[in-house]
Amino acid sequence: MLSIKNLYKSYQDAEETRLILQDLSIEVAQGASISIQGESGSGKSTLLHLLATLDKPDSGELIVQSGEQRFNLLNLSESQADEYRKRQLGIIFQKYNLIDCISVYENVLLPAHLSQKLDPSYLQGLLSTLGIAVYKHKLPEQLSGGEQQRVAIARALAHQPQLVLADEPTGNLDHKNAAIVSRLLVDTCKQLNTTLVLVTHSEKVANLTDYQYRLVNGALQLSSSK
Amino acid sequence: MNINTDYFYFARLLLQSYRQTKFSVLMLMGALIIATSGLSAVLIINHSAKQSYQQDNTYLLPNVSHQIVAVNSSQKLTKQDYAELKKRGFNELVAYATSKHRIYHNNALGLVNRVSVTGIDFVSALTMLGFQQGMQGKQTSPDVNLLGLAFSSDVAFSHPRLLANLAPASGTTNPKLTLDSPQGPILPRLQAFDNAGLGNDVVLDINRYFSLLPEAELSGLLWVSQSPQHNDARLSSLSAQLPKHLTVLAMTSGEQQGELTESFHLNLFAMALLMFVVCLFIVLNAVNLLLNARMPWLKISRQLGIGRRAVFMVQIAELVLLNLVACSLGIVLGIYLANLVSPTVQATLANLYNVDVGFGHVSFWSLFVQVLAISLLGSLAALALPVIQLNKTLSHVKTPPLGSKQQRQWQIVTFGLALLLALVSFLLLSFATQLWLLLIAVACLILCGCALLLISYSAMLSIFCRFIPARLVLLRLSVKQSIALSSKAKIACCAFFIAATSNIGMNLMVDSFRAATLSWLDTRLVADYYLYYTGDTDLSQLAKQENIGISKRYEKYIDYQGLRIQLYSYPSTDTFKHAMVFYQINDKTQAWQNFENHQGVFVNQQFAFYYHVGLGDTVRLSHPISEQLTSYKIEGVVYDFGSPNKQVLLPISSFDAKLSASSLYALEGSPEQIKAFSLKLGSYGIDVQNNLIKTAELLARSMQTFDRTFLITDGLNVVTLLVAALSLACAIVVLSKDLKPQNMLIRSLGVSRFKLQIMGLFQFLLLCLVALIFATPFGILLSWVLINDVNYHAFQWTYPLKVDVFTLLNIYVVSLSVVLLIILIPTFKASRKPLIEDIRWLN
Repeated sequence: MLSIKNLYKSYQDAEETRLILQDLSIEVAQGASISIQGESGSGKSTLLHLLATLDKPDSGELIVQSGEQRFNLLNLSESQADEYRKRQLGIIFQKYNLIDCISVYENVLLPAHLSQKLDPSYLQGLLSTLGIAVYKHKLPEQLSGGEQQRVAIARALAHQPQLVLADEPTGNLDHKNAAIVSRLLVDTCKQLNTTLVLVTHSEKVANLTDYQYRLVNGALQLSSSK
Repeated sequence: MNINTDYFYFARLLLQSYRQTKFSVLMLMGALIIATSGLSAVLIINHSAKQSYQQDNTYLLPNVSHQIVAVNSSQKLTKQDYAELKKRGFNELVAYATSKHRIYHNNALGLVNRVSVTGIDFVSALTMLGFQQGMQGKQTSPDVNLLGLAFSSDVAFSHPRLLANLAPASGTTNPKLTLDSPQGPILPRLQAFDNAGLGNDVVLDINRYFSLLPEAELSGLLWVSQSPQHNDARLSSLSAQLPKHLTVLAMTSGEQQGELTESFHLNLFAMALLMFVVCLFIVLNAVNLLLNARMPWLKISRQLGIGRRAVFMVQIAELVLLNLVACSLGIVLGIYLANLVSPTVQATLANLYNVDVGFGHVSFWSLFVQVLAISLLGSLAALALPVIQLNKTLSHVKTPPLGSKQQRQWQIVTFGLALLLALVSFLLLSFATQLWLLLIAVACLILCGCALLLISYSAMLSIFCRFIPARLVLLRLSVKQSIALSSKAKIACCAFFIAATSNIGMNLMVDSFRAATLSWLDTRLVADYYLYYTGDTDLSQLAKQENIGISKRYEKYIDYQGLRIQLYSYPSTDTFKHAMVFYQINDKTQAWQNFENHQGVFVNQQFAFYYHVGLGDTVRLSHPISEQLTSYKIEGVVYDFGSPNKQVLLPISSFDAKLSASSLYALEGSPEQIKAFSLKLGSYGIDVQNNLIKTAELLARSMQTFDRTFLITDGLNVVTLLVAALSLACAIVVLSKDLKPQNMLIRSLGVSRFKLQIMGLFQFLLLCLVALIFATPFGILLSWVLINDVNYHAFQWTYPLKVDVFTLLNIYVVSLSVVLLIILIPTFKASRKPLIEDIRWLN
């Protein structure tokens, strides 16, 4: 479960302070998927960064509940944040960011090894679900953009995280591939009971998630839900 | 936009870009300054040393073509001989006497090395110079004035730098300088005289010299040529009228030394060139770094319509300007460095070749032109690759990654090149005898290693990767990243390989030489004490009175095939037999028997290698007593490290005390007996403090001298390694930009910053470690070549190659530490940025 309460985040520009997120609150149930849309600079990525413990908010509460474990993201030290990312979190970037010197399978294995949650049958199933099992011994550069993003999704889910954050995962793909990849992402997360927070500009992609939010004036507004 | 405007705007843009590319520009300037300072320092040292040999032993006098010396050391050149020759009208002759002394400054030893104190007959010299200048219609020169000053007042000359070394704190005031002890004879006031002929000398009037050193003898008579037309006739006349015990020698000893020292200079120059080449790798990487940092600006400039030609020409002009600035600064630094290391170089040359080197004059402008030309050529060569890359980027030509077939073709071509280089190297090493050709062979050998490294780098790393268990996922990933890096940082890795190979080669060579010298000295120095003495007192009688065993070494110099060689006596007692260290010998018992029976001789390596003779060959030498040509069989070739002389060892009975001089005595006795003996020696006016040396002390002194000799080589080695590491650091800065997405991703997977930093360091250290491992066989081979080919031709001695695992490990540790030290900053800097910044940058 993800719980955000009264979150504030501002940036100091040259002379003025810009408030990006103000009094933002939201609760997302375990296994649910939400999408966040908004104008450029509205703070979508900032929110993801805060959830990924890559940045610190000014104030508020950021809680991730994983079974018995409860993570208050505001109070995590650097090593605790590393540990949280290693075990609880999967991140998908707009650019696939695969490590080009190792094979597809090794890319997917990496987080499973790091979190010591290596389950070969689960990984095999994941690769099959995402339709990339046949490419597992290839190098990332030998795959198309859509295939690479599928590998990125597999990598984000390889260690069975509680929360997956996807920052415009289809931004670099054509319409056809964008539709396939986003559908796979949402369905696989649902299948694995993983909470998904997806930032996108695409209405079509947003409509695939359970709840669709818009980030306006630093706060989330629910626009529709399934 | 017209062309001139293009150039103007782009130049302005470049200047403004310096604000954001400070690091790259500083790196580029730093590399150029290091390269030019090293090169100019070596050029200055070489130039001034060569100038110094040319004027060596002419003691400020111009046109000295010959000198008169005693035929052998037992019959001396006397003042009466000089007076007689002058009386016969040979006014071209100027007498001189020289001897080496330790100089004390205000009761303390001024310099560790001994200084030559030389007396010259200034009256004759003044007459000669005045006569010559009168003949040429010239005015009196400053030299004549100075000699006049020296004659008329109580003054001695020395080079300003020697003066500064002798009395560093005294400034312009007159320091009290005494010879051989604080209570010794006081030197006259020293006048600084900036002349390259004055090396390690203090020159004064001969009368003053004899008043200081009444026991001293004339060393020779310099022949100052008056007119080139009549010189030969006058010399023939002089030769005809010379007494039997005197002979005319052309001033060729300098040439002989010159040949030998040439090899030292060539070695020094080769090392400087090696450092320069490695510096060019930094230039290349720094240019890459600069162009990378500028790329957005360059692209915008092109989009704004600035011509490609302007982009390139302005940047080439920029490089020329940077070279000009770096050259000026580098030369200033080089002059400072040359001054700093001059005493060490002088000591090295004195130790290796027994030649005194002074301080020469090097014109700043000629040096500037030479260094600028070399560095410009090098920089432009280093610029070629990045410029080609830039050209492709700006003209949007994408280089597709090599296919497997193309990769195989590339590997075959590189392998072919490696084979060709190996063949050239082999042929040169087998047939070439000139040192510069041998150095080219060494360069080919190193380049061959470079080519093989490029082919096999990723294969070696892949093998390494196979041994890492799958659960050590980050380690495996690091190794795989290293494999990827190896193809991107080829040039930096090659630079490191070159530095590592030369480092291993030089270190093993010096280490082997050190071990050989130590073992040789340890075996050879069997007596308890050694005494250096050239006087006439019969020391055997004095030693007998104290029950001290004394062995005198007789020495005679003879001409052999146009060169002066040494005939030395060697005792054939059991102790001394065991003390002899042979390079080649067949049957030891038989060899010693033939030696004692005057049928066989032992020669040193220098003799054997120079005359291409070996065991069983016969040499015909002038007998030390009868002076008749006598045939001797070579029974053994002995080691004689550190001597430039060709030497033949004969039994003591081959010498006559009256006909042969002696300068060395081996003493065997207890410390008490030696103490009593030294008191007796002191009563005969013999300087016991400096000349009677305990064997252990002699060994320690010799090894200190040895270590001092290789100080420069060690220094250059470390500098080369530092420069290679800098080149690698440059490459890291360039590559860290490419590695950003991967590092960001790994951080986002929960890998701590510290682990990421360690990973970064590990990747580059692994590359260096593989390069080091690869460099090891090449380094050992290089060392073998240096010992058996380069040393053979340069010094005429060889010694066994000793490959010590600890030495290799030490080189590994030092090399990796140097690299670690240098790459620590860029690696940590790269991973110190908050992850969020990298993600924003990527987005």
